[in-house]
Amino acid sequence: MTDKKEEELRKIIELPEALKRVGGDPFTVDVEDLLRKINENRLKDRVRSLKYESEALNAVSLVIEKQEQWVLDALKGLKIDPELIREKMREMPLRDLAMLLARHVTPVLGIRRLSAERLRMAMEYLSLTEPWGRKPKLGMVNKAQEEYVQSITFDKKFEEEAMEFYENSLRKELESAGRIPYREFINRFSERLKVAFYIAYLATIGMISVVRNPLTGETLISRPLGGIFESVAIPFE
Amino acid sequence: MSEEEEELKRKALKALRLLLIETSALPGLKGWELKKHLGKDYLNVIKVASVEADRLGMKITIIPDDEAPKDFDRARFVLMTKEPLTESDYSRWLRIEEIASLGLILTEINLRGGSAPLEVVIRTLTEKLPRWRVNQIISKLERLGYIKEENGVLFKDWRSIVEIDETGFMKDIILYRREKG
Repeated sequence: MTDKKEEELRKIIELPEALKRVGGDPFTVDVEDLLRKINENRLKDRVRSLKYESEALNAVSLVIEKQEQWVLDALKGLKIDPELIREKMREMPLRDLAMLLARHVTPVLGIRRLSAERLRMAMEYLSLTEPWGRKPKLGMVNKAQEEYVQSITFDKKFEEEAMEFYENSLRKELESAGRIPYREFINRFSERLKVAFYIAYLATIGMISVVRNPLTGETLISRPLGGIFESVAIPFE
Repeated sequence: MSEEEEELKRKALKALRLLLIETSALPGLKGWELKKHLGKDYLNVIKVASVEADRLGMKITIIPDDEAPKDFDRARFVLMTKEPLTESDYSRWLRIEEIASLGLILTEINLRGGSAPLEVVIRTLTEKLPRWRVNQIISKLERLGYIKEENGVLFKDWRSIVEIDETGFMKDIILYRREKG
């Protein structure tokens, strides 16, 4: 009988931790019922009973605290159906989502310094390296390969340029067509290598997906897809 | 200006310098550290420093210690911008996909009442980003103090609480309409 009572009290004691693990609505817990159970399950051994009762009461207070926090968080969500918000976020492009959040951020400021230890390590490293101009040569470069190398210059920060390219040249077409043949798309531009870089970058950050049709071998640019991702080389010449 | 006022202003400027330069993995300083540098009346100095910070478009925020929320000595004092980020500042903060991921994670945590299973968060993020990138982003956000993970459950960490106006963010999500065309 005592074991059963102890078991009941232990369940109450473990409740806050379980709520923390699972998440969800803490109001599913009936606090009055918990207090009634604590009252009903007093042990014969007074000292043990007091220990269990105090721990159980502490657990109840933690549940109440969790309920208060839940109300505050629900207010932040303006009590709108969570599924509605999830659906909105699912459909929202990453850029729009990022802009919405960034508008509400006031960052903490700080200047990082190099510690004396790291400075010492840097000095040691520098003393071991060869001076400028005395670095070993990379060896012969095949002239035929050089002909394929295009000079790429980026006016702005690469990520910004890639996002701009996405907005101006890719987003609308992807939204209307769904999928665009990779080769055909790249060949529309004079700076094909640069565009290939943009495509690769946009795919790695998940703005688009690049898929290969296993039957035809054709490479396609599409809206972001789920599934398994891998890194592959795509020839475009 | 009296000698006392001058001394207070000198200390206030010193406080701003101390708060700006990071000496540990976390920005700002604890109250007891400020007391060591500025003296017993450091809270008065911080009040004057707040006025000076305000002129420069900054503010001083006090982050209470979890275990002793009313003890100023154990609280962390940080310097923050007064105004939210502008579009040209975003790239100097986090990358676009990292900001978006943080938004998704914080919303999931809010919708679930303060915590969200890591698995669920990863599933949500992989709908938009490759899995390897999701892992990188979660680690980075943890390292920066935006989220914390305990036994497979994600919680908001100090930086999210201090830096982000979540009510405003949630309101904007609800009001969001995608531009057509």
